Amino acid sequence: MDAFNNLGLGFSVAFEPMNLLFVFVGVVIGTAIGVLPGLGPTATIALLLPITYTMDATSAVIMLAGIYYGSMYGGTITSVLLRIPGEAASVVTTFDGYQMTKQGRAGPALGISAIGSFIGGTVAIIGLTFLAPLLAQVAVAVGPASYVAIMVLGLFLVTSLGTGSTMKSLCMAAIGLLLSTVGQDPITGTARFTFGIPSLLGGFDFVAIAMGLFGVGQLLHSLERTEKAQAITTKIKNIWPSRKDFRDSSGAIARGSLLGFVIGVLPGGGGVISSLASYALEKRRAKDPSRFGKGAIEGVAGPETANNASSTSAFIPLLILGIPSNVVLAMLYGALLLQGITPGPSLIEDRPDIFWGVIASMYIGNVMLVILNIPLIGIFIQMLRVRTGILATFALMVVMVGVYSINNNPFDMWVVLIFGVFGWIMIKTGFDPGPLVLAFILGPILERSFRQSMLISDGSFGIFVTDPISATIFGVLAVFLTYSFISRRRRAKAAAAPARAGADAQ
Amino acid sequence: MTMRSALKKNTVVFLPALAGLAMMGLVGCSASGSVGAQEAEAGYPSKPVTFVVPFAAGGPSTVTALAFASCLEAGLGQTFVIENQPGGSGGLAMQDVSSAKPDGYTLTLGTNGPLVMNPMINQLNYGIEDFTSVGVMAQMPTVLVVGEDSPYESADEFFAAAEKNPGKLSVAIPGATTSAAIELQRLHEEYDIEVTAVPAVGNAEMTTSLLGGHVDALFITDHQDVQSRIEDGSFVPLAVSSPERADWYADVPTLAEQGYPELVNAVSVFGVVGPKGMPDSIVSTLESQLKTCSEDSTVIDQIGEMFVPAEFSGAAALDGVFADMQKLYEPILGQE
Repeated sequence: MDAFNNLGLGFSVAFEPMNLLFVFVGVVIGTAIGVLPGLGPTATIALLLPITYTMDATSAVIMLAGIYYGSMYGGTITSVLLRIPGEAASVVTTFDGYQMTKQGRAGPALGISAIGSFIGGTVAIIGLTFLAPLLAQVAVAVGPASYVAIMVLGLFLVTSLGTGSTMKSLCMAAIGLLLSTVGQDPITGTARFTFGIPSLLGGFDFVAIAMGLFGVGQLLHSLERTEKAQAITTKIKNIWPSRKDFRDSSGAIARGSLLGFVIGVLPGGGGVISSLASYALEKRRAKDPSRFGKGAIEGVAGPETANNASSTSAFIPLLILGIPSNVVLAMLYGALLLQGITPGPSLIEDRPDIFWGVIASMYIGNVMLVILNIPLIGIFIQMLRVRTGILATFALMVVMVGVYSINNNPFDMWVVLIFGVFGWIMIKTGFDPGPLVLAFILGPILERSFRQSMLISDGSFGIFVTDPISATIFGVLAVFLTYSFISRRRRAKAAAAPARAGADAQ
Repeated sequence: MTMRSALKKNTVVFLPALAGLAMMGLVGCSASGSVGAQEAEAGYPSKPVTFVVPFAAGGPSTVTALAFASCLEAGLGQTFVIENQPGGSGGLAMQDVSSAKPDGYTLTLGTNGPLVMNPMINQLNYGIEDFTSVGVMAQMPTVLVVGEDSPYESADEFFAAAEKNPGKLSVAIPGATTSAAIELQRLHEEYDIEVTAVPAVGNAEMTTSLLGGHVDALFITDHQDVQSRIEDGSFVPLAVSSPERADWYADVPTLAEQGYPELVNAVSVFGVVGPKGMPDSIVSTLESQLKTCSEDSTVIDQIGEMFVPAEFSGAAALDGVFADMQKLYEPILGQE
């Protein structure tokens, strides 16, 4: 079969000592920056871009790709241990991962994430090997109208995900959407809500808001607690998940792999949406959904698997269509351009060594990551033994450096601090920052796609019905909402009946 | 203009420099800006140069800056550090550079959007007069393309259809405040041909929207990605925005030839600029090295042969380019 010949070529490229070294360097850097809050793959690749330019093209892409999927492994660690999501995709992991840490189950949480990530990554690479050209065609069919539907679905998931009350989630999502409107209007270019501050012209930076609300908020909160209470969480138990853990999460991992792979192919999809969707799916399927948000291992395994699968399948639109689906891949695209290579439909034929070499290197990289991560988790958990005061100070410093490095703009550091205080107030008042941050990410895509759709359709809402993807999604949403409304009423009635029966018995 | 301000600077520099001869070290501190500047002028560059790119890493601007930076490094013997500062649609980078010391150690990529248009639309405290031009690195025309299955096979057919059904044809553009957006607006105002402009973010999103058939055409900044699509046939170019036909699309007419003689301005110019008042000697050092680099085969390969103008445009020419843009955009974008 052709794919095997190609893969053979790929492995012969990837196994060259130099390339092998760069896979290793890439995944190690990736894990490290994933662990350091603030220094995401975006900032790191931006910093490394000038260096790659002197490297061999294949080695450069192999290394940068390694950093990208390596950071997906690393990002989990701070989400689980400190409730600081390193990048958008791991916001969801904080929901149950941090709860597991509080229950002294940080080991299995990280263990299952590493295993899930490995499986998700591998499934996606296999998919990339065999289905890439096919899927690329599907990806372009997703236009502005479809995006509106996908984003509405995303917002729907966001509000139903919250661990607290739906009303509170809705409030937070609304604030997130409002915050996302700050900056230049995407269609007319006029400034909105910037109050004459030039730094706000480009809107708030996502990383600054997420770091503030989750990271700094959590740090402030943890400083309030006494040392004694903190000591309980430092008990470290087996990293290797128990048989029960495996049983609980095997389904989540399988579903997460497929879901992540499919979502990653969509331009603009990738990370967050895949982990969100996986979490929502697991919560829906669970026999007892109330366990979610309180340390359910499926809530960690599913999303972690999905975000790794999607970060791998996101290479399909990049390498096949020449369309980077997120900022990190846009930088990989730039790195290739610098080498005089234009990713696009002709890449597979023109430079099979790069195309298949990079894919083969991902197989190797994933194996390296799982080998590196399982024993290293023990070391990372040691972070929790450090006194809160010291750990918090250090984490805050890394957050500040990291957030500055994204745009080289000190303004972002103020944003982190101010949102940190908000985050702390939200924790105290029982508001979950998750829906806010996620709505903030989805908001701009929703607004732009909606207004593009309106421009294209000349103001007619018919476009959402004639576009097959949007029609399907809106249809399913309508059916689902009606169903859940009816079933809730029925449940309310059912709940009322035994109560009356009980009253009678007295 | 640049000359005069540079001269004024030099006379101001002269007095403290004389006084400073005796007690260089001590007084030098208070007047260090001026004394330092003169010393630095002679041995420029004697330390690494920061080159700010007002866009996020990865785009054509970064590719251009990196390619030139490594050539300038080789030629001038100092590191050129590329710093991406995308905040405020490039406005922050320009604001920072305009207020930096005009000693040649802080330079930036001056181009249509951040340098000329942004201060017209938003409240920013800089304008083109706050910069010293050095020279042009690259320029890219905007090209009108349709998909391979498009019913419009030529510019004539496309514009005829647009005239017949005003606002029916949708054309994706790279953003709301780009020269492409302005040209389409002028097409409507001056020639009464109305298409619906759909602002997108960057070439990638535009490419998807045409491949997926979500818009009828793109008015896209010409770059390697666009070229490779034209080569493999998935994009068909209808017209280019440059004043003359482009060598690499010899068969493709200009908008001017199509009967829109005014529409020759949607060309992105990537120039090197520094803060206002850079000494002439530093400008000419940079200018001549930039010229050498624009003839360097590695640089040309990296940026794309067609985008590095065969005839180098220096400081004076670049000044003129930005002044023309200013004149053109002001009535459309200008704030009251």
